[in-house]
Amino acid sequence: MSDTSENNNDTSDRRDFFLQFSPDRRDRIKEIWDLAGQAEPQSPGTDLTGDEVEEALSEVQQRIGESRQPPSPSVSTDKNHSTNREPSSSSSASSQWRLWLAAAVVLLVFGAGLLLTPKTVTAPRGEIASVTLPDGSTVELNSGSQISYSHFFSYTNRTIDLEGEAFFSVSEGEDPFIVRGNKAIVRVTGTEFNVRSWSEELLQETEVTVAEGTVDFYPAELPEQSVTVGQGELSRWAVKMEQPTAPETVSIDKMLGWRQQKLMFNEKPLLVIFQELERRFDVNIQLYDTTMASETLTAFYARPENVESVIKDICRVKGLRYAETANGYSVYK
Amino acid sequence: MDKPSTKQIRMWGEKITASDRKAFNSLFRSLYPRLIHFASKYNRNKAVARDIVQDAFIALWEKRKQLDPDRSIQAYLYRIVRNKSLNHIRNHSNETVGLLEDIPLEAADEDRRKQQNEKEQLVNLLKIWIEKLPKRQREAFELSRFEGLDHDEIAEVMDVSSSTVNNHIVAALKKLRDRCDEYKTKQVNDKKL
Repeated sequence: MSDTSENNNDTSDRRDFFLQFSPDRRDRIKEIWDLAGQAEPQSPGTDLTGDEVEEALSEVQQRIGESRQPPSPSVSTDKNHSTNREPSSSSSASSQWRLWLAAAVVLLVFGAGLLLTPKTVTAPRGEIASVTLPDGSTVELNSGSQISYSHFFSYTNRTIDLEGEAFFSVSEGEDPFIVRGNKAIVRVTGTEFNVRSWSEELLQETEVTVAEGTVDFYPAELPEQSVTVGQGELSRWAVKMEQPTAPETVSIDKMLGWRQQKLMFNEKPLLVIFQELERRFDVNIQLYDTTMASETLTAFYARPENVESVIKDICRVKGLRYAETANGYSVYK
Repeated sequence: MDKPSTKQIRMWGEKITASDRKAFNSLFRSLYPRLIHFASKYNRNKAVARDIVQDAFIALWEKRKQLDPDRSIQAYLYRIVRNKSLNHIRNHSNETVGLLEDIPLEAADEDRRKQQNEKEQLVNLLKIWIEKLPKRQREAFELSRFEGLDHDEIAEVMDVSSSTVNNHIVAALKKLRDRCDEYKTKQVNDKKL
């Protein structure tokens, strides 16, 4: 916290304003004004680097350059992977041709080896990222999640590998759209659904929630055990299970609340909840009482103020205590 | 984040009206981080804030020829960002809070509070009190105190008269003063006990 106020916006610039207060109160009001200058609420993650500003500027310039075309929906990806940005899919022959040409140039310049390494897009911890795939499908990635797909995506296949949680809005296409995570497979042709599949979670569970249409959901090695998950339904499968759970009806808004920065825990173990909070708010949370790790909790925050208020609530409900550490919080009994 | 002077922004504004891309770039570089910060107050999703601010600059460029040179270009940008942010909130939050309630950090840890010096304590409390001001008072106050906009600009951003803006800011300051005074009295009393 610095003593100098951030912008040159002190009381001397606003002499006229303060004149309206009666002389005996004026100084006190000025004092409050000065003090408040240091009380600007922090909005996390908004310290932009020069590069980020330049990148944003070039995006804006590009969109201005597109002059009279209807504005295309803007696409945001993780800054570290912005070179992965795909041209928005347009089925016109000329743009297809240009894509192939671009592919050929890339092939010549970088060699075929590069094409075999998958493309990845990651949402950094504390942020949500959205990306448009070459086939026009869109993916929203929850904090700390990653997808990867082949450079031939939309040409030879439409397969995505997922680590974490993502919401998919799939465009119609010839190839089935396939999401793989934790040895489970979700297969669709054109629909909206959410997949949650964290390998770091103990159960190595994959959870599918369908917002629109239907999907087929099965263990990668047991395709005959497939279940069809319909609109508004959820099914789970964990590595040790024989078959995914029978689809049950759920509140889609709550299940997909992460897309609007909400927090929703439905009978989740504390360990899983803390992992989710770590990713969402980019902090470290150490749970010292292992007997509590599997205690479950149901909670919903439409607008979580900050991570501390959530941890505080959980501790209150579960009879735990917490302390702030250098890089986060520790929770103990 | 040093803010450019009003004069500087005005100069850029005149050049932008004449389709000067360089002036537009300079304006973008100097105001983009502030506006992202401002948009983030309405929406924590960084991607949304980024889209909204970029759209605002594009709208500015597309409307450059219709801009009134006497009106603040800065207020114009803040206004678009505010409107778009409010729209986004309106379209995306219709659910209520369930089960566990959102509890504001009213009473931060007492122990920790004692360790801070008095001024830091007061600043931290001010943060909370500012957040709790009535919405429009808070907006007007923050635009004035943190964004450095003058009353006319804030009037433009919030679509109210400049005297209303003044009333909001005065009311906000008085409320903050009252809270500070209450706090001081309470502390003095605590020491007596």
